Amino acid sequence: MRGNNLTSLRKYLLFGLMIIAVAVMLNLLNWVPTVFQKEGVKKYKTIEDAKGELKMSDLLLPSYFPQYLIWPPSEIFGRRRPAKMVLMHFINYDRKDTVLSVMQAETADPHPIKSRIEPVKTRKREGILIKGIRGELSLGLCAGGEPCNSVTWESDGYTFTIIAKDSVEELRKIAESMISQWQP
Amino acid sequence: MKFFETYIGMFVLQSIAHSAVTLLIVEMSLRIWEVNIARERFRYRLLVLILPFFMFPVFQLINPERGSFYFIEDAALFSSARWLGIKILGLRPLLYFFYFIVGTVSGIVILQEMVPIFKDWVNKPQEYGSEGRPAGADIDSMVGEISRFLKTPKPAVLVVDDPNPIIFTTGTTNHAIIVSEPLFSMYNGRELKSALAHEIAHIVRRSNITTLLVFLIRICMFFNPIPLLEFRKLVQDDEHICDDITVSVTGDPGALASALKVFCLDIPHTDVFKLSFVREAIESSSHNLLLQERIERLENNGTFQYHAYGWGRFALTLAVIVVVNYHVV
Repeated sequence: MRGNNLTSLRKYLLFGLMIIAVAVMLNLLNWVPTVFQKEGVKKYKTIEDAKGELKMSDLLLPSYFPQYLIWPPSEIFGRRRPAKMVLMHFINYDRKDTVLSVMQAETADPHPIKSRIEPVKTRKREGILIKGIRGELSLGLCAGGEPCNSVTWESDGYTFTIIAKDSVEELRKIAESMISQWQP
Repeated sequence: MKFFETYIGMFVLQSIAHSAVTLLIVEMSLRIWEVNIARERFRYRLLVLILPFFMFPVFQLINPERGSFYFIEDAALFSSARWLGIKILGLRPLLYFFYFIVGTVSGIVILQEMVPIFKDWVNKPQEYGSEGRPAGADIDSMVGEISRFLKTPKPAVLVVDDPNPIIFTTGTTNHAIIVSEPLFSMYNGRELKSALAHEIAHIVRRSNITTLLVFLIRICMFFNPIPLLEFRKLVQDDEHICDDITVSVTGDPGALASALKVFCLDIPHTDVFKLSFVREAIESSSHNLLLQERIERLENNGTFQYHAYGWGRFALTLAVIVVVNYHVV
């Protein structure tokens, strides 16, 4: 009886080990292509890493941040080819969910990946002037009915897109704080 | 690569990946749980054929964002598209290789299986059933005895005039056993009883309808190489189960082994440069190998016992397959 129980326990242990082995093997197989891949989107730990590896010294960051945001970005995704792109997500200090995304992408491919926050419903689109640069303001709702507004403009061969679960005023301030960095 | 972003493309890619992962888990589980009973093996192997067909649509219903960049980033254990996307010298060799495999497998299934089945269906819809005549009273009584033992309605036995040794069960609801005339002179009483018991075992197990359903799923996944290989194992397991049931009726594995030997095919040794010859030779060898394996199993294994089926372990294995595959995109 005791022998049977031990055999059974050994089998369950082996089964558990098999699950771990399969998961590790799949993860490893998932990692291997990233070594060869030059074109795919990669995740970066810091902004400096992204700037250096993507050779994007002209990567712009907002200098104005609403109080509730956590610095540094919770996620930084970047791509070098076929067109450069950096996407940053910022999370809310209290809610710990993504409330702001900033994307800077070469205009050849302005929206290579979706942000974590995307409007599911757009209520209004209108032109906007951000420190003299023409852009487009989009007023919408995220999943769950939260306000989800975005602003997009082109400058210097890049398309900038900011999406925020915040008011138009705050969005404008964030956008203006980015433009002021490179304007003479 | 755009094709693999469509629903059909994702289904093709993910069902192949899910088949591979399911096959791996099932084969390892069979060893870990030490599953030696044919009936249990059959149920495990059925998972390899059935689950990959249904998993992708169900997963997508549960979570339509399963194929998205963020699911792959956050939750996926493995993304097959990453491998196909690898570029070397501006080319995607793995993508081309994948297309080659899918194309070849599709061609094999269509040309070797779907076309002949369609031709048969068009040309001779009821070849044997309509021509057969009822078997004699002694056969009828033998079939009645086996049916009573297996607690199943007695099927009709129809004898057909065919020079080849043939015995099979037809029908999915109303079954009949078709036997060709030469078998009565080739078999002694024990062998005939074993052969008939084997066919009645198929009726008890509803092998025809099960095989048909699994075959349809396999045809729907005509692009997938794994069901192509696994289907044969499944059919072989079904034969083992029916062999075991037969032995439980007759208590005579030797008689069934001897009855099976009649069906070993002669492999032709002429026209070696003809493609049709090569195909026939391969098919005959493969048929003989499967028969030989069954004959050896019957001659060497001796006892054919059943024990309580390990449903708990099976359910655990099934749950692991589903959970792991949910994270394989």
